[in-house]
Amino acid sequence: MKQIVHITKIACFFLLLFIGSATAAYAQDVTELVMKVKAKLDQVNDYTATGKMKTDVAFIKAPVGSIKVFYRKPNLFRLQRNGGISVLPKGGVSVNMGNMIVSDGFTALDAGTGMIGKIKARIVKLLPAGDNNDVILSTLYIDEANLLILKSVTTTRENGTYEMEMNYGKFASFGLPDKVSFSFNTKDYKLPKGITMEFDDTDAAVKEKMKGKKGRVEITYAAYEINKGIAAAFFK
Amino acid sequence: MQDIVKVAHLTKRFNQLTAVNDLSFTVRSGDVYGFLGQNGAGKSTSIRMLLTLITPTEGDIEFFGMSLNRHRKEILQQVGAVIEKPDVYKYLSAYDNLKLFARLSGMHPSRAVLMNQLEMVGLAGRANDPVKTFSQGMKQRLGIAIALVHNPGLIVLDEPTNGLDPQGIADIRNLILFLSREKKKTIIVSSHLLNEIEQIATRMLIIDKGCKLVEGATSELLNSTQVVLQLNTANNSQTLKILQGSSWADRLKPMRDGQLILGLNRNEIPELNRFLVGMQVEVLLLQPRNNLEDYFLQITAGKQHVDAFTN
Amino acid sequence: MWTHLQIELYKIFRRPRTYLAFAAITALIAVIQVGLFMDGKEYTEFVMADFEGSFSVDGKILNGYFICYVILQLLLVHVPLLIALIAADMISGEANMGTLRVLLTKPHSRSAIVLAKFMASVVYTLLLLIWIAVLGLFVSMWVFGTDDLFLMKSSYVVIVKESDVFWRYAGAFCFAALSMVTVAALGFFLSFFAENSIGPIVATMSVIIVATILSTMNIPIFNTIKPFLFTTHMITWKEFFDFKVNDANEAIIGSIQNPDKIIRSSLVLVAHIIAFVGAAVLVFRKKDILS
Repeated sequence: MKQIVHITKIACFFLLLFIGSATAAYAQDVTELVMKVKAKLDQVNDYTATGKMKTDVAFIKAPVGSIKVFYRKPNLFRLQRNGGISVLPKGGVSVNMGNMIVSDGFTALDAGTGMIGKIKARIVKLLPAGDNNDVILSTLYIDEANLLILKSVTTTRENGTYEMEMNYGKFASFGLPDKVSFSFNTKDYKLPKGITMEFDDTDAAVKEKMKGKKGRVEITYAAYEINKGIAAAFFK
Repeated sequence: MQDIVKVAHLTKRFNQLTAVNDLSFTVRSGDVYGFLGQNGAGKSTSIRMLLTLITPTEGDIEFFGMSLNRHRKEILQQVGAVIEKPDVYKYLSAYDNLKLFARLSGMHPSRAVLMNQLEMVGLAGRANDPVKTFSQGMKQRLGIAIALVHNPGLIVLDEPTNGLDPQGIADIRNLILFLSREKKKTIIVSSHLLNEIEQIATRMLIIDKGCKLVEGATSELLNSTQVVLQLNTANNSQTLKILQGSSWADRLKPMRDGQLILGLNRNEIPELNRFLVGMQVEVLLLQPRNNLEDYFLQITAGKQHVDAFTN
Repeated sequence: MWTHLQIELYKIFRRPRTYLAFAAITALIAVIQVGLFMDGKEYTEFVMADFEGSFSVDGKILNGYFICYVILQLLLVHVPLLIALIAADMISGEANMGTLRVLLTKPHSRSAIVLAKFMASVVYTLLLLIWIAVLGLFVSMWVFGTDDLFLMKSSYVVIVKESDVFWRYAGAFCFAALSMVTVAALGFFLSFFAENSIGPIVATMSVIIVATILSTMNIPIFNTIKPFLFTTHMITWKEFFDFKVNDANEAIIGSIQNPDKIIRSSLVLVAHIIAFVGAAVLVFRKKDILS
């Protein structure tokens, strides 16, 4: 924790040099805001959540599946299907909040405010420290009143940009969402006919509809069990 | 005697070829009816028309006073047939074949009854052997057992001795006589061998090129005083010249297999022999012939028939 | 008719050739199962190579349901040969053996004989498919377990929920049965025109191969006749494994994407069966038996 603050301070120092004092003051604010959000999330040492996961990609027809999610501080995460087959975007779905903040360190920048649904949100850009991080930039939309992350947009080196939207309910006090939507860009794919051995007579209209470029994975949590203790070995 | 089969003006044309031409005949109850003709004469086509395997182009067929067209099922219920080769399921045993065909005829005979049938044709000892291990003669006897399995009044046997060895031929002959005499069956049997028909048939029909040549009681038809004589001498060409220059010239028929053939009255044979001896001809063989070709020679003056068979 | 059918079935199942088909299917399915059991991972990776570029698929793809789909996909192309082996021999084989004429001198109408023989080939075909179901589906389910069915269509991916799969297989097998009965009807029809079984068997396969090529080639002149070719419809069993989604792109459990396609294909196949068998009856009623 100290280290993060330390790095943040160093980052802030450099930012100060470039962006000037007014901005630096905001940056200090948003860093604090992020730290508050993080502190809220830090109440949770571990959780086990059950829910439903839906993969919504235009060219994937999949049923809603039951899942179980396990989390342990700081960044251990495991998504277990309750049977069934799930399709997730390459690189995995980072659907835990902590992941976005609790990295080795970051620089927070204020990017103004925006509306997420009916809630006004503070937009914070996080630049991870260090070069070997896959994440290049994260943009967080934070509900300042409730200290909740409403949306995040993450740009990665390997896996493009993805978006997460969170809806909160019963577990808002722990900063845990009821529903997470994970959006990402998809590429079209086409198999050679020889593999499927079928005469490709899919209607042109249906095909067109399937050319959507955005994919989504939606997880709706039904229940969380918080701080009941999960061994680290479980995530191995 | 009741007419069992009555055929009137039966004709079958395959495109240009007339296989059977205006054929009429009657089979009476108790007959062993010989159906005689050379290969290709139209015997098989006629028999197949009787059994509804071939549709006639023209003509009427009646069995037991019923039209075959309208009462096919009832008629076939009373007819058993072996057509040409005895054809059975080779992968089944004799017993299973018999049982299968019995069921096809709507019968559910007991094992004892079926074994009895096999006993009658001398196959009881091989009842459970697959037919593929049978000789041709055994298959033929099984074929006859199958034809008999539903106890038909009329049995049609198309060339039943084809491909059999002498013992097989004798077995079939005896079986036919047994069926006729002991079982009182009416039998139609076709053949191209006159001596075979002669030994079993009570009545016979001879056809050639699809046309009826003659029909009647076997004894009457064959007991003609006319015979075809086969003559073999030390020098046949010399003998031919002698005969041509004599009063026997008009009795001469074309030579066959290098032997002399004459058509004449049975009681003229001694006289011919005396003539030949008198002319110093060394006679090696002098024998009346008894096959269908020669019978044709007897009943037809026309040379074209002879050509047809010798070619 | 019933007696006749029994007799025809008795004849079919007393012949070694019949069991050859069952043995061939057992061997083919075993080969696929063993192959996928040993090297299934490579197979799925190969199939999904393109897709896995952007997605990671998590779960037991290589389960019994998937195996059965692979088996059907590979096998149903070859089953027609095994069906032709029996169906195309129904009349020609008997003509060749000479038993046809014995059969026809028995007191049954020719139509009854034809129908009984056709029904017997249908029963054989169905038993063959049941055998495929037992080995391909049930044994696969037992050996590989069950899970969701992950399928790569030519332009999209379908994941069928485990609980939603089995009835689709029931439907697919029924449809496959209809396709194979069509093959049986074709072979059966062709068996009336020869006095040995090789001709009709080869002819049946040739017709299927040519028609399949026409169905597959995307050439405008062929496209007009495609809807009328039975081979175009023979693979419609796959339609059972595609479902509708709601506006939220959620699978509607128990739905079929194109039920009308299945109905249309079924009708085309039934029409073919009626045409083949009807023509066989017509031809046979007037046919002179010269064998």
